[in-house]
Amino acid sequence: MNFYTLSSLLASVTLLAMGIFMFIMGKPRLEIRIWTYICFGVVFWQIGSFGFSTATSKEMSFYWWQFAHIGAMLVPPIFFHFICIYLKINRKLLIIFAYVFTAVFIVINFCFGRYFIGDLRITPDHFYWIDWFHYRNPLFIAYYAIIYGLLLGYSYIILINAFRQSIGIRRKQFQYLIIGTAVAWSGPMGIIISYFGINLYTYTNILMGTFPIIMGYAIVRHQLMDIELIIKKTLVFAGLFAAALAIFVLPTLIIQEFVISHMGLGGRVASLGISSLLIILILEPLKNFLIRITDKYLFQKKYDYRHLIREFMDELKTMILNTNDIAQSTVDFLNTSIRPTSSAIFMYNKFTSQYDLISSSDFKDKSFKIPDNSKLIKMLGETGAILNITNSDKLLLPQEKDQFSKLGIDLIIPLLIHKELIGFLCLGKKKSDEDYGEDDIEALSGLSGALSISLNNAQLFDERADAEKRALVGTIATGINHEIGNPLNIITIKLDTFRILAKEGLLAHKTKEEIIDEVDKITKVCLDSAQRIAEITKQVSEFAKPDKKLIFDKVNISEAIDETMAFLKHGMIIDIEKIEKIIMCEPVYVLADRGQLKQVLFNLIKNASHAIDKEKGKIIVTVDKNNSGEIAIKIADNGHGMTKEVMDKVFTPFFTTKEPGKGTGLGLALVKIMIDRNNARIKVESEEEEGTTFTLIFKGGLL
Amino acid sequence: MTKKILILDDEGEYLVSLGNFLQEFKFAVCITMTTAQALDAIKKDKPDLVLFDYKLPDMDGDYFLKKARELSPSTSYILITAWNDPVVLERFKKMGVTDVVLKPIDLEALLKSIKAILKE
Repeated sequence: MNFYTLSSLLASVTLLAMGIFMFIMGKPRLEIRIWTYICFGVVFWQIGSFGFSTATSKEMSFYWWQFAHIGAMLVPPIFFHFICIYLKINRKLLIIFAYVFTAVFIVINFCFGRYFIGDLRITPDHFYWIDWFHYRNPLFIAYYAIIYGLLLGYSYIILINAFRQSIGIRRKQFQYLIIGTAVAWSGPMGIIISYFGINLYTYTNILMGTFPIIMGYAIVRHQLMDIELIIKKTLVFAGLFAAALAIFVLPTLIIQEFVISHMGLGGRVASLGISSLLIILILEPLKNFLIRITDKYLFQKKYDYRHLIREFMDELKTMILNTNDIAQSTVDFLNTSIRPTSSAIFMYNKFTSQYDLISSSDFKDKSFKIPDNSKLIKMLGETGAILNITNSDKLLLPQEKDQFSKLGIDLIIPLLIHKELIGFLCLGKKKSDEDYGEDDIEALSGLSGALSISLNNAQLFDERADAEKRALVGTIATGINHEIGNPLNIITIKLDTFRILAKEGLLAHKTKEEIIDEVDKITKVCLDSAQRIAEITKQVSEFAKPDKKLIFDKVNISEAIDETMAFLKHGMIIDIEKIEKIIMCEPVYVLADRGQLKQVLFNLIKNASHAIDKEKGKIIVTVDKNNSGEIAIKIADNGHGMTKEVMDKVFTPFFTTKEPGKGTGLGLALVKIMIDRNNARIKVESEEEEGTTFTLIFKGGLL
Repeated sequence: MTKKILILDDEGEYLVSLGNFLQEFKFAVCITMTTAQALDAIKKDKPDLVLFDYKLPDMDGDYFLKKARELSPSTSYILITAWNDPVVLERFKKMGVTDVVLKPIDLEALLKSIKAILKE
């Protein structure tokens, strides 16, 4: 047994542990799978090292050297492969070359070991090491120069470049990856430099075994390779405390032994007293010290909360106005930042007078509802303070408290608008077992304020959007009534006239030919009218297609404009004569959702029709391609135009210049949302008393 | 003496069909598509009965009725419309419309109403 054996044993165990750990943690991910191969490669090599450093004969040692080399040779190409995958760079050919090259040398090492490794000599530590003095093998030099010089060098150039360009947590991850792997490579470097007579191989091999410790730290602190590890704080603390206490107790035991051997049994009692005193004295400072260091080094993430929450609050402000999206994003955010065992957001439903669950994660009872007359709701509304279920004995009824505990809720955060409880957020205990501290409560209070405002806005938006939909339905209904009513009326009159005339005997004087002619006329008019009704129902259903899921299609813009104009005409929204369509280029197609594109055109033309003069008003719809191949649809009117201030706010939800009750201020906001969802842009230009032009710009060249 | 009926509606096909039907029952029918035409005809011919819709392209129904009644106080009026809005219909009745017929028209009922009004 020598130090080299110990170091290889250490490295085998630590790397095997890391390999297994990574395999379990990051199973489905390619880069982590490759990383585990690196670990197992090193383990292979270290087992070889263990073998050759304990071998009793030169022959045995030589075989173990060959064995170790296989491991050592496998690692560099896998490492290069890993770097390429991890940084998402494409070096396929080089990876294949590295593997083939390695395979060739593994065969050489195995079959022609004498020429590759050369001869062995005994070291001062009494094991066999390569005898560089008698045979400086060129194959060995060539292999190491290419693989360890060029390939590893190149790997690190890539890695360092990535590190330089990275920011934030990714930068930290790269930093640890570079330092950690560099420490690991000192192992083989130790072998290489022994070629020059520098015998540091024992120490470099010990370094190799410490490499998984560095990696482990990087995983815990900086989520290296994005492995999220949840450490139970209590567990870490207990382990550390035990270890530290053992270190302190050991000397007292030694002292005891020393005292006993000199003073006999009486001394034992005295020394026990001393030991106990020592333990009592160090216990408290030791505990505090450990709490401080574990908090600082392992759970420091907690201190980033404020920053994260501020960022998320900014995000909330810009989020698309949709209650469910906002709630879901919040739950997702909390899961990654505070990491509670469960989370749920409840919102007030005025129709049922209950608080309903609208979004949750790992929440036990998805149908859980709380009526608005419960004690909890009253209490939350009155105090507006965050409620900790554990300390809520005086505030809640015992059965209520019990119910929440069973659901795993630890914290209830009220969401208030003008002292009215619009909803609340429930959080379970933290996965790390930590309690919610004062700084958590403070940060969550801030978050709840921002969340209340955006949820409230979203609710208002939903209500307004409903109103807009109802208004649209009203317009459509008017149109349908008029457009279907008329042909229906004609059919009725024609058929009824014939029936009544026949009944009254008014057809009696007519000849057979005259009657056939009459019937032919009547049926023709009726069929035409029926055709008209069919056309209208088709268009209405086309227009009313649900907008939830977009169906991207190759849409002929000219056709879409015609269909929209037909609909405008049927809905009696505008005198169609006022609209002029100009197509500047050959049939133009865009990739868009047909229904939404038509809805956008409908809204823009309808708006334009409101802006123009009854007499001289004109709307011109132009389709053209610009220099960069983009397709522009312009809806220009010569109406009253708008001021710069109005123009700036024109896409803002609820902004309207119309009289109260005449417009919801959502039409253009919806246009903007639809255009965004169709990957297009919208532009507005306007001059007071001159007119307004809306331009839709679609990416060209897609079709 | 043949009774004169004037029909005002902006839907041509319907206008002609209804006119033809009434002619079969020996009424003198005049069809107009705009209120201006209708008012001219009312002033000149003093029809016994006017059938009209209140959703008119060039003038609103209230104004048309007021004007028409000024021009020919002895004429009766029947409102024929697709818009079954009780408030509006009540308003027209107060303004002197004798009957209201909803579209699609029940011709027999219309004929009965016309005959009753014109005391045939």
